[in-house]
Amino acid sequence: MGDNMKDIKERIFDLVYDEIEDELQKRSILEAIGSDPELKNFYLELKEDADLIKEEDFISSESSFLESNRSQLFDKIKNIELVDEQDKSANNVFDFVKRAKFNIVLKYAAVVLLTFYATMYHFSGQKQQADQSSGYDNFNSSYNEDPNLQQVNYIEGSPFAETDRQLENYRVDNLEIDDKGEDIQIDFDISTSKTIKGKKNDPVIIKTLKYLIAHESNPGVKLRTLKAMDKSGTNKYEETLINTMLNDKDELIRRKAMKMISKSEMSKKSIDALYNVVLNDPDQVNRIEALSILEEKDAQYADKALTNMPNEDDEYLKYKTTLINK
Amino acid sequence: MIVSQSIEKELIRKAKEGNNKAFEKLITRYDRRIMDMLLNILKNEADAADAYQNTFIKVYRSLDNFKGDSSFYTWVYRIALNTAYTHYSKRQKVEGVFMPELNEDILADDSAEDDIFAEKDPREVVRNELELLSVQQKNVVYMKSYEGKKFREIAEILSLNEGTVKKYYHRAVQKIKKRLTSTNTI
Repeated sequence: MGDNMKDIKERIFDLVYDEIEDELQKRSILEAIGSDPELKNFYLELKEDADLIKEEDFISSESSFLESNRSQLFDKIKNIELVDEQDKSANNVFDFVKRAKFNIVLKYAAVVLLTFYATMYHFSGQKQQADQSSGYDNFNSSYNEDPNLQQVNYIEGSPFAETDRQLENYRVDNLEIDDKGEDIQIDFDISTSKTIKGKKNDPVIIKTLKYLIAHESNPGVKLRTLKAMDKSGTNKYEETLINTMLNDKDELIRRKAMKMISKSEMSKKSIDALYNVVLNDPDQVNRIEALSILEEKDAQYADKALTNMPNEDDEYLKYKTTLINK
Repeated sequence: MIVSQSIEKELIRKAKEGNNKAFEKLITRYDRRIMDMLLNILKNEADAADAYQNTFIKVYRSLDNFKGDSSFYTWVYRIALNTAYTHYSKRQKVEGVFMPELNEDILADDSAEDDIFAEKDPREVVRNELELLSVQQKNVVYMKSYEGKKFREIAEILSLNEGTVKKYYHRAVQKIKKRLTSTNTI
């Protein structure tokens, strides 16, 4: 990587992490991002990274907890003051005695410490030998595939209503997709041993995946469902993906759906939805990503989005808006 | 800001002269942030409460040593951080658990596919990964992502250079990202 490129990437890093205060410097970095697709991708990637860790991932102290610690501390400090004053007068009396006895105490302490370390050294050698001989023979995997796995559905053409009802009642435990994206298997609570398994174009599989995206509460299951859709071809899921991109409460899931839609040829409906994301998604990174995709798919529509963009807090979007409104 | 700084200077001066009320006022300006940091580093209330008491008693006893080379908060923060390290390493010796380096090795294998969905909620994955960072990385990430500090401020508190702090942060984020990718979470 050339020094120039390295330098500008470092400055983009600083921009993303809000380290740059100088407006002119900001402007020159934004111009570089705006004119070089590699730098734009780098900026987008960093924005995604910066979005990974959120304030709510950390613990905030409860006020009552803080208050009780505070009052304990203030009591202690009052006591320290009293003790310190008592110590001062006691010290005057004992200082002379202490000094006289100090040398004798030091000699005894040295003898005691040497004896202690010698004993510890002796016993640590014995313990090491014992550890080496113990081994780890007891580790065994307890997992065995259940031979009586009940195939709930999998008869092609069986009524979906039945599966639907079952989905409401059971928690998804696993969702497997083979490497080619041909076979999909969804396992429910281990206690029920229920499973749905089928080819990617099986209507029951398609309906089940759509159901999971719309109703599942665990974002992990949703993300795996999106991956299954992605691997098995997204055309048949366009409507579902648009809804997810616009309405899911989790920004990562909305983002994933957006990226999936944009991989293939986008319909007018998808582009309209993308335009909506640029203007209305509550997540800044999603808005930037959506604009970037829209710029590739339909530059004029991207310009229109920028013209109508409400007040933006992201530097890059602000910069783009200023350019378009000039 | 200037008013606030001059009030702080005055409180420090009075506290140095033995005015406990001034010391209490000084502490209440910052102790929530200190407590939050201790809770996030030590991860349990009992240890955080101990470290909180020890921190501010050290601050009280060594107030005369504060010469104003850094901000008062930075000085207190450093004392708190050292106290947290001491608690943390004592706990490691006693419990013999929580060894981030070991855990990183374990996570390096690709057995992540076997994880159950409960661990694949992205927020859960991020929180679990934050737990597994080294203490130094955890500090940097905490100060940046929770406290919103600039890298140069973090560098000053940790007595590191700014580039090193950025590296710590970047590596921590990459580690979290890798975990999210390996669990198919993103």
